[in-house]
Amino acid sequence: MKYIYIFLVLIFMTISGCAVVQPWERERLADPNMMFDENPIQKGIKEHYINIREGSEGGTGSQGGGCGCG
Amino acid sequence: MLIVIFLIYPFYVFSQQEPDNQIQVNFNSYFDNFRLNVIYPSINIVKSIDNNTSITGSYLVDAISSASMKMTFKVDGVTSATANKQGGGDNTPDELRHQINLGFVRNISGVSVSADGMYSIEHDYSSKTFATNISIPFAKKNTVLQIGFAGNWDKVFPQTRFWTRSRNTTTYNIGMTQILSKNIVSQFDFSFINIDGYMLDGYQVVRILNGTNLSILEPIEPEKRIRKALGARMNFAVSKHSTLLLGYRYYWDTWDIKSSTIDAEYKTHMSDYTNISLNVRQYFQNKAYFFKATYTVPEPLMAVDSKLNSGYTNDISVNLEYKGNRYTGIPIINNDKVTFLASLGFFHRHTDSPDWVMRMSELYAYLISFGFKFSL
Repeated sequence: MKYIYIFLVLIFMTISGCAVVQPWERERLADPNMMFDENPIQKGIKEHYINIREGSEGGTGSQGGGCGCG
Repeated sequence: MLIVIFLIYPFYVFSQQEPDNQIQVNFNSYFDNFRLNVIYPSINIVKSIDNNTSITGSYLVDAISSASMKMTFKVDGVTSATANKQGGGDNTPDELRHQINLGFVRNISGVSVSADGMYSIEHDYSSKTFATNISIPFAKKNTVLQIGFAGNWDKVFPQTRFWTRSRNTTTYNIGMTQILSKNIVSQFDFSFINIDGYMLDGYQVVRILNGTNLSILEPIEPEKRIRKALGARMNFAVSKHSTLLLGYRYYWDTWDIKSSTIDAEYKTHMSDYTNISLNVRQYFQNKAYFFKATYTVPEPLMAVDSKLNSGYTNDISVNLEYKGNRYTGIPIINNDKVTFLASLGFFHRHTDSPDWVMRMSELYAYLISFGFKFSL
């Protein structure tokens, strides 16, 4: 349970420390390289071999980011 | 059979954005020093059917070939995945697995909703998955909340046994993507996975040597496992053309496995058409509470699976993307609807005691992938 608390505190600190970035200020964020898992197929290929060789799973995030326009 | 495990994450599950209309074809291969060779081509299609809805589909085949363990069972002990009852031991495919995915992504007043169904079949294993995800933007889209659910229903029917067992998995996922500044975006993610049923390999055996008497028994593992993982990632725009992603994941479960994963990825646009990325990943874990390197007497719980052992892994990969353009003058490449993909990876796993079949502690694997995306 303590990990969940740490996680929630991290989220709170992150959100409280950031200002809203307006859409016209997102030129760098719009770069496809700024997206998490820009190519989910490539991610699937990688997890294909990792998950059968390690004892862990999950927590690897999801596609998102970039300009936040999605 | 083992290959199926990753399938609770079908390709478009937990996807936030509506993808573009495209076909992507990949030809992937895996080779390791345990004499396991896997070739797995895949085709993926995304097609918009109106301004707010896309449908997705994919088909994947695993062709697996490997050395035979040539011992207790005349099946493949490395992959546990051969339809050939005489065992492997050559370079021809011993097993084929087919997988099909169908799904959709729909945008409803800025909220993205997706659903995906998957079916996988091979000679000793079948798997069905349903997954759904919702992404809700807040604060002028500076924050996106992602909530996901996946249900996974598997059947196991090994060649060397006379039974069929079930395994049911439910996965809950909650994540948040947050823009922190003009150059930084972060993501936090929590996964909760509940597994009930048969989680063993089906072909592995425990050898117990008592004096000169050798006993061969089936492993026994708990039939319930709850897995949790917390992940955090940050992506920094470090220059006009380059980004650096840093990530950390902590994992823990009811089998007492705890692990930490750190990874870093540097991406850069080498030109208007060429994008290259370098990914480095390191992973550490301790062993499951019932795993032992050797067993001297039969115990209530026994396991030989290397992924339940303590150890670490290193992974490094290079990915290249080249967008076709009319300036090249080379046929096929001069089509700006085509993007070529290539990746080369190296994976190393160390376990603190040798693997149960190959009797080696170090696994070295090489991964090569080629493909292309074609915009429709």
